[in-house]
Amino acid sequence: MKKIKLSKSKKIKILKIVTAVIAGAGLLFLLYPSYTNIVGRVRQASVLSEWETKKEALQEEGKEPFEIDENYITPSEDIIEGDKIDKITEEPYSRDIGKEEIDYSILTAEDFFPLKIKIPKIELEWIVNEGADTVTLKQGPGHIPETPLPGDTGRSTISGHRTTYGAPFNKIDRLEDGDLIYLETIKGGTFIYAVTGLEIVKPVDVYILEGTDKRELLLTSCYPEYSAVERIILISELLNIYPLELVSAKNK
Amino acid sequence: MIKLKSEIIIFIALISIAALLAGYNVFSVEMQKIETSRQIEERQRFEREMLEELKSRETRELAEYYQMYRPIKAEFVGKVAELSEEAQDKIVNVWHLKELTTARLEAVVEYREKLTGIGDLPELLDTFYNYELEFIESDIEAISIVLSYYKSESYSTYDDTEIKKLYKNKNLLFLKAEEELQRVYGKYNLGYLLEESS
Repeated sequence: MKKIKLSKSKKIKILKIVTAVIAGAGLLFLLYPSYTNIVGRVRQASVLSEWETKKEALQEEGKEPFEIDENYITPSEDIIEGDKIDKITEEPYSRDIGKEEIDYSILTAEDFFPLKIKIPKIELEWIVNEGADTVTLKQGPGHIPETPLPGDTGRSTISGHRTTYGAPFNKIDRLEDGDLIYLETIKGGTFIYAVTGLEIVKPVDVYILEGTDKRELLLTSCYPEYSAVERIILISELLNIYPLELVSAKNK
Repeated sequence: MIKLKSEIIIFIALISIAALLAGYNVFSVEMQKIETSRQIEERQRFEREMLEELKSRETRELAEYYQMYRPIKAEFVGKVAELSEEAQDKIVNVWHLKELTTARLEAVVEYREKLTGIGDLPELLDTFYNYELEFIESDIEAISIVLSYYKSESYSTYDDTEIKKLYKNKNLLFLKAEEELQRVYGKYNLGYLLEESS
């Protein structure tokens, strides 16, 4: 075999090309997360806007957030009659929807998703879809179908990217005990969770998804950032917020 | 003849006396009737005047009480509205929630102190006052339990039956107090006072 001998200037030229290709690839590699984040956030803004419009339309139609247990939501009837008292007694329970009044046996993921997750502390606002496969997670956080529905007993779990595709869960490690997480369904139901803990586990530690008798929400993402070696698990528990209003404020 | 004349005179005299007696009797009865009627009228007038005086006294008492009650109630309602409005915005954490709830509890305790400090409660407002105090006690109890719930840190396993019961009860008492207040002030044509302040 005849050996081709390259001149020195050609060698330098080839070396320059190889260096430029490697540098270009490296640059692309570095810019890729930023690119997906920009695209993800732009898309999310439009998804959020569509979601809000649809929610308003549903509210105008007067759709109920969920099928409510009749025995639970009408406490006033046995005490006093008339519209006036009904208006009042509805109020303390209207935000208190996360407990036994929801009949989960007749509900499916479609009754909840897509829903909006809001975490005021880290200014997070994203639409969560049902499913935690690669395609769904590229669109935003996704609920793991094998886990309970929001508000139900057990550990309802939502996964999200930490550094790419808009990085919805980028700042979840900044949350502390007591910080609130809001889940709003498109039909107007709201679940409020309070952070109770944070754990770092291996991807194989699926035991973390096993629930207790509590009604919990887990937010999971990669840990540390730019790595999938471990998982960060933010644990929160369903919280009822009771109104501070005086009855008169609404009725005078 | 003379005898006949004297008999006639006696007869006439007797008749006259009888007529006079009867006339007097009729006259005195009529006079008595007039006097009785006058006395009845007088009594009625007196009663009317007494009633008017009593009513004006009660009205005055009610108006005076409301002058003292209104600013206290307005302050309480204003504080609660302020706190509720703050709670309507997204609360960031449980600590903030506890802070708002504690402030709400302080507001109702302060209202109780000021209300009981008014004094000179018109008798007509006894029922209203009892309802209002019952509402306050129920409100304090409800908010206290809510606060202990936020502090419990077992948020989703907490049995809140008692909270729901208290909310229902305090709402009912609040309404009863308002209705009673409106009833009393309406009866004494003072409903406009409540409208002015609402």
